[in-house]
Formats: sequence, structure tokens, C-alpha cells
Amino acid sequence: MSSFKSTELLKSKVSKQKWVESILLVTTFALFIPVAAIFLILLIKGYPAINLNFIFAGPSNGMTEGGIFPAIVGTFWLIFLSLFFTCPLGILAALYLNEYARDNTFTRIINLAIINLAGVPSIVYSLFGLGAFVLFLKMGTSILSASLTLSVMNLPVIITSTRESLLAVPKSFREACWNVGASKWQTLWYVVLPNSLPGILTGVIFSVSRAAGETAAILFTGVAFYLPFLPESIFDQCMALSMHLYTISTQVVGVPESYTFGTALVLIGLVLIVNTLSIVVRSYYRSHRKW
Amino acid sequence: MNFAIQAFELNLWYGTFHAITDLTIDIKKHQITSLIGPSGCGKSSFLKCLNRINERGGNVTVKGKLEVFGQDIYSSDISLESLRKEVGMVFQKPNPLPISIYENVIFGYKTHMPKSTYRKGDLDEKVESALRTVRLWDQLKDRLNDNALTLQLEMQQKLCLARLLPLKPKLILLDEPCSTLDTKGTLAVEELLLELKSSYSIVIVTHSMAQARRVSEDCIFMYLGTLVESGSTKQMFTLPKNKQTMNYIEGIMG
Repeated sequence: MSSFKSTELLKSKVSKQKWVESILLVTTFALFIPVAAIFLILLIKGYPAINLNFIFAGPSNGMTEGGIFPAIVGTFWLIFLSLFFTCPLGILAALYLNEYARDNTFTRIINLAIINLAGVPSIVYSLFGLGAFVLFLKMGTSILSASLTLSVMNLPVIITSTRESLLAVPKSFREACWNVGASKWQTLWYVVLPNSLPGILTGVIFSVSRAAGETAAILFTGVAFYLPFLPESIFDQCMALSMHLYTISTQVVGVPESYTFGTALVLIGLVLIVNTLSIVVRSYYRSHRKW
Repeated sequence: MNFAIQAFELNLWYGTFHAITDLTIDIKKHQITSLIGPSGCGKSSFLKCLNRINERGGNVTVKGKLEVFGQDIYSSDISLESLRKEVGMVFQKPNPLPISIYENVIFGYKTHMPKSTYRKGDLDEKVESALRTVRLWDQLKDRLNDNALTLQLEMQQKLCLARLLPLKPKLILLDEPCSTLDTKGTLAVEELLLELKSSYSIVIVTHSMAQARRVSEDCIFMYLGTLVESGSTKQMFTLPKNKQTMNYIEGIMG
């Protein structure tokens, strides 16, 4: 019996292998198409509207002319203020849950709460924000209320991604630390955190996109359709790109198509710019990681 | 006091699993003692009790008495940080931290000193002396800033030993330190241990009968969580008192 010849069984193995590979390839490509299409359509339709006036002027003539500057400013406020609340809270909570908390009923309830928090629709967060921040805490409809609402919405994202990246740090590193008598905090600070930073930043990147793109959560809490002036403090209302996009595409008659697409293009560009910062930091740390 | 370790009726459970049963043993200072026995016999568990590193897994219950250099390490006033400073461990798989060679060696020392008290020259000296002791200095002195994970396994394992030295431990525990090394690396580490034993007390868990024979003065054989036989290695390997010991040593069991 010559054993190096192909048999029927082997042939079917090979053809199955080819099938699996091509299905995987097609799925990957199918994912790529919408992303590319969105960018292309936005670029082609929105590009004509983009000029200095569009970026740096306020809307005029019933929002059918002028620019989107107040909305850009408002979105920046919302992104950074919500990150300012979410990042420390989420990261510290994740550190506690992963490194300090014992596995008991209390922590299990907290875990359950985090998972559920992630599944709540954003309009519900908006109503919560209205009730809790705007009315009960008397912050009014303001950048502060809107940012706090966004932070609550983003908390589960940051907590989950932080916990996952903490878990990804090999146990042997921790053992090595404990073994020379390092305290829990020293182990965390010198070894675990530096090695989980890229993963934590991934969560931050995701929250930036969510904060920038979110419309429902800020609807009742701090964003106005139109404001003739820029916000001066966190207690003012602001405009936001996402909300503005919704307004000019559904609520206002006579807005040129290029304006709508231009606004969307700026929104995506802004998210990319903010994310670039975290991506640069992340890739710096990744390239210095040797395990 | 001639003993580094004295255990009296030590019992250990992981959850409900009884891993060590009534272990009573004295281990002498300034020599190498080997712990042998088939997998799961409790030898690593015993080793990990000695600097209480097993507690981080949670769900560990220890009863009985365990003294290291005359101090009951399970008494409530023991600080785990200072215990582990005195009792260092080298693991089965080399586990250098993903930082530079220099920082690896001095990491433990730094964690026990307030930042204001250490001076660069002092640290440099400690790193050099530790690396000289494990005979890595000549090979590594020009690449101290390289990431420690780029070293070959044998060097990594020696580095893991070196990083204990600036802490001036009294007891060094080794959990199958050579199981991932080749023959040459194994012999190099063993040679090192023989040199270190005048200054430190060493306990080594090993699966290699030959290694136990080569390096240790005393030998402890455990089976299913209990002590079967202990005594001088020479006597145990030539005239074991217990039938199980003989079977294990000759390779009939385990």
C-alpha cells in the first residue's frame, strides 16, 4: 500500500478546508464594504461643503447656511468632560473588582449591575439623566448634566475593557512581584497597570466614539437644537454634532445635502482625531511589550 | 536553633481538597533539602506555604504549626511582605518581569525601600553583585537595559534567582527550577545552588531523582499529601526504610 497518495478522504478534507477559508474571506470582505462605503459616500457628498467658513462659523438663516462651529465646540466639551468623569471612575472600579474584591454576593451583584448597565438603551440613560442630574441635583440642562449622563452610559464599557486587560496580564508577573514581597498596590502600579494600559486605552477609544456619536442620551440633558452663542462654562447648554446632524436632516427644511453630509464627515473626522491620540499612546506601549 | 523550617502537624486544604495531611518535619539550615514525590503529592503546596504565596489563589485553609527560623509564620502579627522578603521563591517557569534586566534584579529591593533612601551607586553595586553571584555579570553587563524576556530560558531562570539576592533572603525555595532547562542549563543552575548553600538555606522541589541525588544533603519523600520518609539523601537513595520510597526511587511507582 503506497501511503503518500491522496485518498478520497483526503480530497474531501482539502475541499472542505478551501470552503471554510473562502467563507471566512467573504465574511471579512463583507464587513469591510460598509465601512468603506460610508467613508466614500461621506467624502464624495460632504467634501464640497467643507471650507473654513463651514468649520468656523455658526449656523445662520434658519440653519440652512453658515457653519457648524458651535456644534464642534459642544461635542469637544461633551467628549472631554465625560471622559474626565468616566475614566478615573471606571478604571478604579475595575481595579478594585479585579485585584482587591473577594468573590462574594456583593461583588457578584455589582458584576451583574455592570453587565445590565451595558445593555440599557441610551434613551433610558437620557431620562435617567433628566431625572437625576437635571432635576434632582438641579444642574439644569447643561453640559455638566449631559456629560454625566454620557459617563454613566460609558462606565460599563470602560470597566469591562479595563477588567479584561487586567486579566490579560500573565499571573506569573504578579507572582514574581508578590514573591519579592511587593504589596498589592506596588504590583499593580509597577507591573500590572503598565502592561494593561493598551487594553484600557482601547476602552477609552470606544467611549470617545460613543460620547461623540450619542444623540439620545444628551437629548433631554444638555443639548440645544440651536444656540446663537458658544457655551462659556459647564453649566451652559451646548450644541452637538450628532444632535445637529439629526436636526438638519429631519427637522429643518431647505438644508443643502452637502451640509448634512459635511456635518457627518466632520463628526467622524473629529472622532478619528481624538482617537489618534489614544491610538498613538497605545501603539507606543504595544511596541514596547515583549510578551 | 539549627533548623530553617519546622512544621508540626501541618494540614492544608484547597477548598475541601485535603492537599497536605499532618506533615511534621524539620529542615536544617545552610544546606540543600530536596522534596520529591509524584505529581500532586503536596510537595509544591508545602513549598508555597513557606512564604504563603499560595494564599493569593483564595480558598486555602492551613492548620497546624509552621515555623521559619523559629517564627510562627501563620501568627497574626506576621507581615506577608517582610516574610516574602526573607523567603524567596524561584518558580518552575522562569518569570522575569517585562522590564529591563537591571530593573528586574533591583525590583524587589526597591519595593522595600522608600524612594528617597536609595542612591544610584548603591543600586548599581547590588545589581552587579547579584549578577556576579549567579554568574551572569560577564555575559550581561553590557546589555543591562535589554528587556529581560529576550534572554534565553537558562539566563532567565538565573535572573529570577538573582533578583532575590539583593533582598538578602535567608531561605530560598525552588519549585522544579530546572524542568524547562536543558542538561547544560540544569547543571549550571545546580552548580550555582551548591555555591549558594553556604550563605542561604535552600529547599528544592524536583521530579528528577538524579538532581535530588546530586544537589541535596537531605531528602523528603511525600506521597498523597503525607510524609513517607525523610533523612539524608545518601541513605534514602541507598537504603530506603520504606517500601514506597524504594518503589518511587526505582521508578516502579509514580
